[in-house]
Amino acid sequence: MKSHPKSRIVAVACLSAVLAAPLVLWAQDASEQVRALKKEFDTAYKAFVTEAQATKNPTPEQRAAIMAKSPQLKFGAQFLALGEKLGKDPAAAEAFVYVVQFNPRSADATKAMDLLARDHVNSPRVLPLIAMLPRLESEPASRLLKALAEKSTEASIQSAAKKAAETAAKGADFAIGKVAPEISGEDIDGKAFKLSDYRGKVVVIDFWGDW
Amino acid sequence: MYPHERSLVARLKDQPFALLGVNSDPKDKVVAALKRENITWRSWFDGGKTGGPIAQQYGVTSWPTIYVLDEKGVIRYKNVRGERMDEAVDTLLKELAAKGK
Repeated sequence: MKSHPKSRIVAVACLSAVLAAPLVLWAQDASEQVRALKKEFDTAYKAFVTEAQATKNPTPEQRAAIMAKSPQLKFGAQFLALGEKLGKDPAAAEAFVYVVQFNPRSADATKAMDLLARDHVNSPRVLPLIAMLPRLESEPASRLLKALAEKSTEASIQSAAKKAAETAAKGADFAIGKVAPEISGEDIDGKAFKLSDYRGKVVVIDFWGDW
Repeated sequence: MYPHERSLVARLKDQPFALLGVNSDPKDKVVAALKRENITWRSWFDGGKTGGPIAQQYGVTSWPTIYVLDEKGVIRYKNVRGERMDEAVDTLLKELAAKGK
């Protein structure tokens, strides 16, 4: 090699500039694409809500017909496709999070959760999702929580996921088909009573607060 | 929520049915709500704040959370509100009546 060390440095610098430029553009472009689709969704959703509210006191059939038109269904698939296209780009995480939030029990959401677990355990975008995962009581939700708790190196994500995983484990004891654990306490007048006092009756337990 | 639950309790007052609340408010707020909303069902007072002992035991982190139990105490429905709560309760009451025959 005859080339002068200095010119080599210049050459490397030029080369990396040429290589880096499209990467930066791609990154901007990726989050831009997610943002553009979100904007499109927001507009559609606003129109949907206005239309849904126009039907006063809908019957269950009407309500089902209205819900079937929710843009969340259509856009879930679109966000999933966009996320898959963007792959490991951090912007994909946001797209996958929308898929789960829009229709958490769909096949699209399952796919999105598995991709988040595989490629995006360190993305801060997953944080708002963590609290809702235990409530889904679904396999993919548990898988994602486990991945976040075990694989994430972001302390905030890891600790939130661990806490949510505990909630999820607890939730399994309160699944449909399990005997509701005994509740024993006092009413507002200080009189003690127990859940088992009501065996033989159909019981609604209502955790409520006055807001 | 109150009017719906009030009418459910009133409609089923002669049935083997109970609505039990777990309340996470401070005492004065509960007393005010009971009076203002004419709440006729019994509630456990859960320590005066969210995350009280019963809510913790049941892992409740969002309100309202609803469980519907059959006569054996088995959880049969969760988080059914409004009409769906009525449907759930009516189904279980029918089941119970059929067993008694």
